[in-house]
Amino acid sequence: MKHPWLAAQHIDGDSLTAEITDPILRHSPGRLWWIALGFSFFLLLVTAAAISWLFINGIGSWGVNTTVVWGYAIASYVWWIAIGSGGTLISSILVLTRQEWRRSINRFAGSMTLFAISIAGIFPILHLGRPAYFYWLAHIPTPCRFGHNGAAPSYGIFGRFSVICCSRSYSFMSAFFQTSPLCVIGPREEWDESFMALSR
Amino acid sequence: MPPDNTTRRAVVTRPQHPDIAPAETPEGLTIVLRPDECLWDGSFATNAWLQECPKPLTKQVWGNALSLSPSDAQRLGLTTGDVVRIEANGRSVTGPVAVEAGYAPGVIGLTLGYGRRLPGKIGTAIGINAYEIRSSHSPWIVDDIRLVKLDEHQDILNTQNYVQLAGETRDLYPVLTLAELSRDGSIEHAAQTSASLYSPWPYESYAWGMVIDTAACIGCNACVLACQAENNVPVVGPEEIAQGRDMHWLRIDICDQGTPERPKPGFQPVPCMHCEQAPCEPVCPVAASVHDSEGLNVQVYNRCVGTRFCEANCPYKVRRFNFFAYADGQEYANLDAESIKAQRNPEVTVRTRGVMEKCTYCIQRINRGRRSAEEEGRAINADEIETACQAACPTQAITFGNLNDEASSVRMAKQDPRHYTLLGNLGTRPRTTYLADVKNPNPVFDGDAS
Repeated sequence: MKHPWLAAQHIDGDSLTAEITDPILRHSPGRLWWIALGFSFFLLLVTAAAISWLFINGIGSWGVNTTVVWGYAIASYVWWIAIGSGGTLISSILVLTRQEWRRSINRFAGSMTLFAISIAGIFPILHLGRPAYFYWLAHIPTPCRFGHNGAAPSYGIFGRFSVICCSRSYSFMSAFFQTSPLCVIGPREEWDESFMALSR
Repeated sequence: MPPDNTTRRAVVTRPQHPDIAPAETPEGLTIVLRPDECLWDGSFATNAWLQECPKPLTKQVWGNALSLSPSDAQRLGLTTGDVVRIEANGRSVTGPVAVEAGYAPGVIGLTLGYGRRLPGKIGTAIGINAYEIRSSHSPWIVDDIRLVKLDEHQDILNTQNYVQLAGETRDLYPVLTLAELSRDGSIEHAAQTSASLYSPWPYESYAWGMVIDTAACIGCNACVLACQAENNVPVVGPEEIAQGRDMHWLRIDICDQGTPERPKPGFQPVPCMHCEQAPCEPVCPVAASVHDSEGLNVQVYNRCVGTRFCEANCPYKVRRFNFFAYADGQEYANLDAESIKAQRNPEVTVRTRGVMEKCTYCIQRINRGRRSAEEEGRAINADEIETACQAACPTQAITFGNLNDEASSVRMAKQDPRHYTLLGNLGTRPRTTYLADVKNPNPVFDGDAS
């Protein structure tokens, strides 16, 4: 009796590639998708405008004061960190409970983690009084400083980097086998052109 | 009837509460006008420092209010901030009321000096113009007024909410009676000597310290303004005050142990405590809040990136943050004058936006004393350094000096039986400490004994 993996039906490379890439390349997004994307882009612009205003006008734009020194920015940071952790938690629970159907969820959960962590990462910068110098938090030697305070909890800047690295690796590893055929076959000529332009 | 000599002698030898029947509460309301604590008659209305100087008892800034007693407020259905119109003899003023403990029923207090029309950018149209209801017949008291409640609300801007911290005021602001003081001596503070895992800081040269005598403090705000002038502390303006962002490095807290009818407020100036185990120091990720070799808890402005972690961690809430460039580009109303820049103390950094600041124990004055001492080849004398708040204090409630010097006044003050530390139970070991208030109540007088 053969091992189930060996006993499985043989699939040739073309049909396998087609099975992986078709849902993405053959299925063009509908009108609703474009509307949703447009709305998301509008929200992105609003965010960019708000951040620009914050940088120009100053940290006083947040409603915090002498007694309550941290507000929306830090709350959002914690919120998005938790969303990111939630993504990792979903993946890990599914792995631990040996759920065979977990793979499609994993991709989604991994992406959620990545984007949530990225969003969380900007909030501690936005909440700084002098956001231009946010990189000082990373304990990088700077010209006007003699050292850093190793004892201080540095907003989990290293923790956040670890989460981003691990989640990125995890997502990348799982996405690799799906994205690599996309890169190889390039079914649309205009995509080829644009990718070639970028690579130049 | 002939006078009874024996009874009369007894009255003379034993002081008693004079047997005067309390005055009957007048039916109508009366306005009592008085000069303002900050603006006097209005001649200082253009001074932004004085506009933002908290009034001694109410802590109101940038404006005045119609003060009235809690009982009147209840009777008239008013709460602090309700706007009323007051009419008398064909004149009227409109403004918010402020319910204040200790006001006599039937009396509304109003200070002069506000509501000026053309004083410039700073004082224009701020507060209630009391002159509009004042007449030459009766310049200080206006009788038989009519009070009309309007359907408006205007927030009273103040820097401290007048609340009674149940059970805590006695710890924050202990009051000794003369009898208690002469009986045993010191205030019970077991926590003052709490153990610490940290090794103590070594101080080989100087160790600066401050003692503030709350019994001597009269709450006049001279220290607050002296500090503001000395240390280039900016004015933030009414909008920022409303956000709770005052910048005074030194504030005077009101600690009330009385009742709304009979308040017993005490004044407690609170600068930076310069703690030995400062909660602000270990949390700064960029080492902007550090302990120096002479005990000062210093803030390095050019390292600060404005995480505000130190401020969050400070139990005394004495750190101040430049939410905007209050002193450097985003001044309130341009402070009405470009010339303000020439008025600044050249020995003190003007802080930029996004930087934390706080009381430095007037480190520039310490260094000035150090320079002159070094030129003369000697150590800094015992009481040579005088901080700005100390120099301005009319009752000499503030003592500052070198704790390593046995001859210094501050060291002697720390031996005082009235000595206590603010929030000493937190283990912060502050360098700024206090001497407790002392009362000598007459038990015969009703309500005087605490």
